[in-house]
Amino acid sequence: MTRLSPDSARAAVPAAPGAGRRSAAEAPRRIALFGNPNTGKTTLFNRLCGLRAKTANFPGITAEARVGHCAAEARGGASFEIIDLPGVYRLALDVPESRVGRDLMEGSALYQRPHAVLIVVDATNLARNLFLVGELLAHGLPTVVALNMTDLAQRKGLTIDAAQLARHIGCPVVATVARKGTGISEIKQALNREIDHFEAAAAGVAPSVAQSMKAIAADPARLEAWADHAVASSVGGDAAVGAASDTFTERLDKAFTHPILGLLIFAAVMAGLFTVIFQMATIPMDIIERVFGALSEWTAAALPAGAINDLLAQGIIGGVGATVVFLPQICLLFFLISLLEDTGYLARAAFVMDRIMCRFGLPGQAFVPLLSSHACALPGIMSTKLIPDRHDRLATILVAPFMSCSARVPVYVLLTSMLFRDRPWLAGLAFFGCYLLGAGAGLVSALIARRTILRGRSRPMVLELPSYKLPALRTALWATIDRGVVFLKNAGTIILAICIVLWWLSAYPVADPPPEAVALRQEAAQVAPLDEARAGELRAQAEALESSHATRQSYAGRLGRLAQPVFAPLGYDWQLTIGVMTSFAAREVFVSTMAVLLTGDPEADVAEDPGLIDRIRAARRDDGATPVFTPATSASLLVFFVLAMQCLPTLAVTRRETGSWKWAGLQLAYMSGVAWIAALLTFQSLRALGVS
Amino acid sequence: MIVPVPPAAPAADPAAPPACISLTQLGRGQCATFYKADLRCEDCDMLNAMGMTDRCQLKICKIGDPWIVQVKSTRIGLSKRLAQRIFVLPPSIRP
Repeated sequence: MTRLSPDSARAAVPAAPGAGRRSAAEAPRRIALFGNPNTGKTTLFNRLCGLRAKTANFPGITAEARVGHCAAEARGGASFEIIDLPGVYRLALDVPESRVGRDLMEGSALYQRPHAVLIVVDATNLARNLFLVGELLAHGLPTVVALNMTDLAQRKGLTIDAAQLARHIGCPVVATVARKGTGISEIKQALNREIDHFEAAAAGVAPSVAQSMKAIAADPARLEAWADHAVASSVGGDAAVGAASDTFTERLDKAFTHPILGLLIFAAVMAGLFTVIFQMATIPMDIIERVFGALSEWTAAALPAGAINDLLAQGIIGGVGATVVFLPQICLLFFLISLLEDTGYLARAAFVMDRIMCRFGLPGQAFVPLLSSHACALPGIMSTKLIPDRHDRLATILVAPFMSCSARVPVYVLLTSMLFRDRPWLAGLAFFGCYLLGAGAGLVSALIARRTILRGRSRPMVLELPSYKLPALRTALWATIDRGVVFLKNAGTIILAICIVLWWLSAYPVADPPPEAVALRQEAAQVAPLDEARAGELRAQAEALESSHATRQSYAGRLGRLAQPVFAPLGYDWQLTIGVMTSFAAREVFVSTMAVLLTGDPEADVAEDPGLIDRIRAARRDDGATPVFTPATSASLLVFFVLAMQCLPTLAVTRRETGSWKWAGLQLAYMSGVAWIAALLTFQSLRALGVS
Repeated sequence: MIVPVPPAAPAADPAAPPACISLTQLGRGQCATFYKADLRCEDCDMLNAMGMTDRCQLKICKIGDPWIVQVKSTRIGLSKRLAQRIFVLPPSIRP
């Protein structure tokens, strides 16, 4: 993640007039890329920079920009560093995206003022787009306007005289079709020409133009009149209100935003989307698991036994592999969302869900992130970028981990089986109840957040409804690669560090084997020459004892014993407490921890070994009589795992998306508190009702 | 033609001239002149930035939640609670 706060911030403000020319070969020229939403700005950026781009974070806010490099058009010409800023309607708006634009243009705060400005305008909606052009021209920097989607404008019967428009607004206008790559080289030439002119003659936008634009931009009525006049003088055809009735768009809008039909269509689209994700992600996920498994085994075999070997094979490779395995789901989700967004459908779907979500203080756009969180909270939280309002976005991020993700499934399987042995329909009902409880807790929590820390109702929804069009595969692919890289960088830094710490806590100190295990190994050695099968069984028993003993003696195990009084009111003994503690890294670890502690089988899998549940059910507490999993304890644990924030990678992603550990800490404290209280109420209520 | 005020329609803004009606009182296909929005500043600014400026002409493309209006070439979706608080001058009245 690049931060747009270089130390040399102010050093690169365009030199004062005549204060020495920059060598074209020395440093790229910084271009700020502005535009209204839905103007094809990012498509143009991708055309200019391709894959030579990375996502950058603005300090202090969640708004992101992509920074890319663009080669020079002619030999000896300067290359460009292009900053793709978030889409804004107006620079004067009081929203983070506009504030970033203003700060960048003024070179204030930590931002570096650009050498020139490239503004993408929608040729089919010129008048409104020119508001932003007028505001940016007032800053007096070399400016080029990319008149995009000119093909679409022609199809609508509009003819735009780019030269006349350029004369009227006072800066070059280049006709482009970003989807087809038309006009790209002309943009580069125009930018170089304008900057050269500015540096040589100190006149990017003529000072008189900048001066008059300052006065015009300060008065909305004058700005509108200026834009209308520019359109009137350069646009032929009639795009006035009511002149062209697009029945295709109107019919689709009617269906997609219909209270019932719209909901059914949305349900079908989402069902299709997640079916595709689950179906298609399985194969690459399996491959990643196998690759990391093989890599871990190879490392373990290649290096001499010891701490370094364990750290590399189990801590680093195992830990990162466990996170990277979600990469296919994340990439597929963003690819499909990007395609959907590009068609123009998502803006309509947001209205359908807004009717339901607004009751809980969330906007309609929150639905997709919350639904994604049922697969995994990581992509869910990352996709909250669809939500424009910061409070709405924060509320969604805070409650997203309440949704029952796939990592909870093994825990649900174990605990519902404990609760309802031989009553599969009841177990199924409880399973479904877990999903309902998680979703309900998330929505109620959102409501609480909007009435306390994120005070206010969700903003009444107002959205521009873009034209329907076929999605651009190239744009979706670039968006996918971008999000995948961001996720991998996260996995390679914060998540890697967390994995190493947790591995160390659960693997150290290395305990001496218990006497029972030593005796079993000796016995195995004695019977081996006579009965190898029996010797194998004895060795397996010894290994199980050693694993269980090592877990108890590890730092995580000791922490579990230390924390046991906290969980005692919930009905958990020290073994369950260790399970809860170790699963703090990832929920599914609870099952393997229980398998190790109670059966001594570290390779156990609930799904593949039905007998495992019986063995765990048969396990007893230290008194030798009370089962570890009583019905009340199992119900309490189930409620705890539905509501608890047992996923460190999610915390890391929350910190990244909110830009602060404060929100991640709040999420952890709130969810843990809610889970503890709900589990306590469950356990104590069941006990009071006579269910032990 | 002005669509009759339905029983559940919001009361007209007392500060507005008598002829000023809520956007939700217009029928599909009708045009009107934007008069004012009784909304928070940031929502007004957003509408303004989207092209719904003082005395602009707008056309109702779809009624019901969401209301869809066209301002110049921009189609804007408005949730019910927002559309109710936008006041327009019906076609028979010009400012």
